[in-house]
Amino acid sequence: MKSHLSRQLKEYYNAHALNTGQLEHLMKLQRSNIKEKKPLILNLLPLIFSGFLVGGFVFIVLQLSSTVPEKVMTEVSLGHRLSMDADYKATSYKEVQSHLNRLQFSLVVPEFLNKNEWIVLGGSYGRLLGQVVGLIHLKNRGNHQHYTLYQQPYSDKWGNEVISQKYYQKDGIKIKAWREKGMLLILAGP
Amino acid sequence: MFTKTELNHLYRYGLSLTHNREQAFDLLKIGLEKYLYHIQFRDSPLNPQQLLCRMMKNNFLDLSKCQANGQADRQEKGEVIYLFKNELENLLVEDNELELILSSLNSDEREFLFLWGVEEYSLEKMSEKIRLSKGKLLSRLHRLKVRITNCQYKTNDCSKKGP
Repeated sequence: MKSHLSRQLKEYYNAHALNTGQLEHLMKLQRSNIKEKKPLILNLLPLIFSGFLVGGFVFIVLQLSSTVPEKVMTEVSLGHRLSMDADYKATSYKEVQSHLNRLQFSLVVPEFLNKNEWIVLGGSYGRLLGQVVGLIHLKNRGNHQHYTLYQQPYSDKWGNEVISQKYYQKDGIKIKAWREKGMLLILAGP
Repeated sequence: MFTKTELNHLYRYGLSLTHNREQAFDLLKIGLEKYLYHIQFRDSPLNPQQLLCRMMKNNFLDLSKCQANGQADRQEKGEVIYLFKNELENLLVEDNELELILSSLNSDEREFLFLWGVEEYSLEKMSEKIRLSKGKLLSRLHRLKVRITNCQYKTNDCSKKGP
């Protein structure tokens, strides 16, 4: 029996279909892919999170390795090397104080340093951990070496740690810190 | 995501190209995998079914080229023959002849018949989908009619399959 080609074609192709197993396989393939498909930001999320984690870890390690005394000593040793000459010539603490009149505190004459052994050469403004300090330039009569004495009001935030050790050695500079008359004193020299 | 109906539809398209059930399934599966990979990095296409059809066709052509080792299944570049589509529409075939006719045709011809007979594409749409000019399509249509007619009367010719 003859019939139109188009009709036969329709019947022929419509008689063919995927079996249940094949259909399931293809549906599963699509489902698994949809689960995996995430916005780009979600794909990068683990990477970003790891970056933050590593960054945080490095930050903490750096913070721990760079404790307050370490920072103070680094600044003091650098400050001593860079400001060997006094901005204001002076021969006494009183005279230095008069030059450094912008300081919010009064300089003290340290008992720890024997007057007979030290000569005052002058004074300068300085900075320590972002705060203004008074610098007194001294000369030791015994070894004729120049020293820098830092003076700043004592603060609990870092004072205890700084003065807990007798001497620090930083970049070839010997540093001594102590507390006297409510002030933190730091002496840096060779 | 393609529905089961759409998958079956695509499978039939694959069947029109391969004239083999297993190969049609493989073609669809590979095409679907490529499609899913493709949309991972791009926006969803406007016509997913059309894109998958094209992927299946390209994949089929790649496979055919490999199998034929360079002897591609190419149509002759004949002159444009004026022929109305009605000629094919009025063609009558015996119920049991279709399988033999399809076996005797090559993939391009089967695809043409599928798009014309099952999808009911117009000549313009078919020309767009197959990417052939209307003239060449009409030429193909004419040759197709001749081959089908020959096949109906010369059963022996039917054993000569296209690559």
